[in-house]
Amino acid sequence: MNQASSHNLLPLLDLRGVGKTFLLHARSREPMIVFKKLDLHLYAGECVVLSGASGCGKSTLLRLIFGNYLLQSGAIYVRHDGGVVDIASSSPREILLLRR
Amino acid sequence: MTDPYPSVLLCVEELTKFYGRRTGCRNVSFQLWPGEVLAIVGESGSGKTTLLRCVSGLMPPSSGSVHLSDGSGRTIDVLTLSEAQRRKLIRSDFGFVHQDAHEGLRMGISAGANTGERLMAIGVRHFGRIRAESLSWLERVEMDLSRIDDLPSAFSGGMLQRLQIARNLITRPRLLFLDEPTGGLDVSVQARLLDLLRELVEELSASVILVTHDLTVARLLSHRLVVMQKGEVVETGLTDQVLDDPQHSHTQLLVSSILQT
Amino acid sequence: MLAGCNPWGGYNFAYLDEDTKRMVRRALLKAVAIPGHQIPFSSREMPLPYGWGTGGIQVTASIIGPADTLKVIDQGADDTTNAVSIRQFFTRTTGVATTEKTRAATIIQTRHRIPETPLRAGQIMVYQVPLPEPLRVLEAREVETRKMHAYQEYGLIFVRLYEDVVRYRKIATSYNYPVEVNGHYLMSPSPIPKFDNPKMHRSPALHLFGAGREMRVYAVPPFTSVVSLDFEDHPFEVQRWDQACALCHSRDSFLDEIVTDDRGGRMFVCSDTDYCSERRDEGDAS
Repeated sequence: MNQASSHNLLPLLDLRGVGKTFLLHARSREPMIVFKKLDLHLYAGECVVLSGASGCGKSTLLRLIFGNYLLQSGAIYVRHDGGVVDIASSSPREILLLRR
Repeated sequence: MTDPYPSVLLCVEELTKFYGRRTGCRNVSFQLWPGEVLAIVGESGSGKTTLLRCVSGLMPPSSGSVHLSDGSGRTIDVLTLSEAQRRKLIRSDFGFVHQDAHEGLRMGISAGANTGERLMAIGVRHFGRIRAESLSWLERVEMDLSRIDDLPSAFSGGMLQRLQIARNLITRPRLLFLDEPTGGLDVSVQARLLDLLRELVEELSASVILVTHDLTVARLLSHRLVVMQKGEVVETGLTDQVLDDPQHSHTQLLVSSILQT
Repeated sequence: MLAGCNPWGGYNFAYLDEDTKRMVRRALLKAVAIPGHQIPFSSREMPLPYGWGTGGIQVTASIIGPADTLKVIDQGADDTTNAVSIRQFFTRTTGVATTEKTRAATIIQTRHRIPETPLRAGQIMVYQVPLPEPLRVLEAREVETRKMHAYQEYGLIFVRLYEDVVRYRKIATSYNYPVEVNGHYLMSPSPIPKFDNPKMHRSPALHLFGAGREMRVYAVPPFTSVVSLDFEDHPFEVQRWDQACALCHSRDSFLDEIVTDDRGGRMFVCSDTDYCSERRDEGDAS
């Protein structure tokens, strides 16, 4: 995956050590590891392109940021309302508010 | 008692209902915020209807508590109210749409009377006003106004559910309980009814607790989801998150069983 | 045995045994203490079938004494079959004086009318009631209707009035018109025409209601408020006639329509026979 050059400003979106594993109970409980320790920064006004082979985790990453998927480790920091919120530890209500 | 959660509308704690030795629901806890739609899903027998009936004051639980915020910073302990107070609360603050419309309507009086009954129950004594409000709500639920004076026994399943909705919403209850609102209806009728519910809920910023075995209904209508199995809560969270990334084995089973259309 | 009484072979005074009378009187006392509230009582087997006034007869039998004067009317008339039979029943079992004059009576048993002549303090009206529960038509469950009365949840009776206005453009209920007693209980005044409802409001007399088949008694004590229910935009109205009584020319009484021939001829006559004849006597005298 590519990343644009960093700015002096603080990132809008800051992923740190994100780990995502799927545990499919119906399929012999074999854990499917998608990420182990992913880092990613996004600054205001930036456009980041996620590209990679099919199945490498692009949509999974988007869904994690959106709050659609739960992550197993790490944090996803979003700047909101003057402060910083960690999506990974936010309550469902907070995520709904953020989505707006 | 001053409100520990200033913005929570309903707080259910350790709600348990036994039928003799059989468990209806056990140690169920959740909260509901104003303007939120919470869906309780599970297979039949998972305890969801039992839970709904206990929370809405229709059935006394074996143990647990239900606290309702009264809108001015204080909470009402719903389960310890006297019967007179409880009936009054149910009449003024709650709406309950039953799965079987015959339970939620009076089949012997006209559609307009069914819709207007709650107004008359809270003391409105002006016929013209009762009639006007009934007409207005029947229109909101997209019913044919020419049928306002017909008996519900002549109505189809979809119309009966619309009538139930109108009957309950006319007094703008703070909390709406829906028990399988689209159960037993055929698919196109279901779809239209769901659209209607979605519009009304959004328009009124209603707080809703919805029980359904149909995950599609839950996805369409609810913000948050509680998954029940054998009377206990096994998973809870944002609806799209629970349905797209189910963690618990039972949830995964439910989700994978949805027929792909 | 009372002098002048024609013994009916071993029956107690007023037919009922003393224990039964005591039970009914206890129920009546409760009824008077809670105006408009239905009190259950243990209805006895009477020598006439249900639906013919067994409740009213049991109430009268429990309160009547040797010093009373009894009047019995049916649809306002003293001379109909039922009124005559009931009057004879009490004559035989009590020997008590009877009268057709409202003014002279201490107890008036009635089916379907209140006399036109205003009642005075000390008089007791006994009503025969078929269905004591005004909510029964809309709510079949006894448990529910009892709760509705207890919690004053009377929205349903207005539903009944609403349906009337929808169907007939006005409140069409013309008899057994629901009333609110003493600002609390909803009561069915028995199948009297709504014309008679205002007579109960703050009446100096005691009004007792007996339903034998349904096993309930209820009461309206003297000077109690009795208000007929209505909508703000459809207020309560009594019946009015264009004609006056053909016999006594009264314009204030409830009139019966009598078909006189088979060519559409009809005349209107006071339903209350005593009132009508009294007016005619006064008319002759003046």
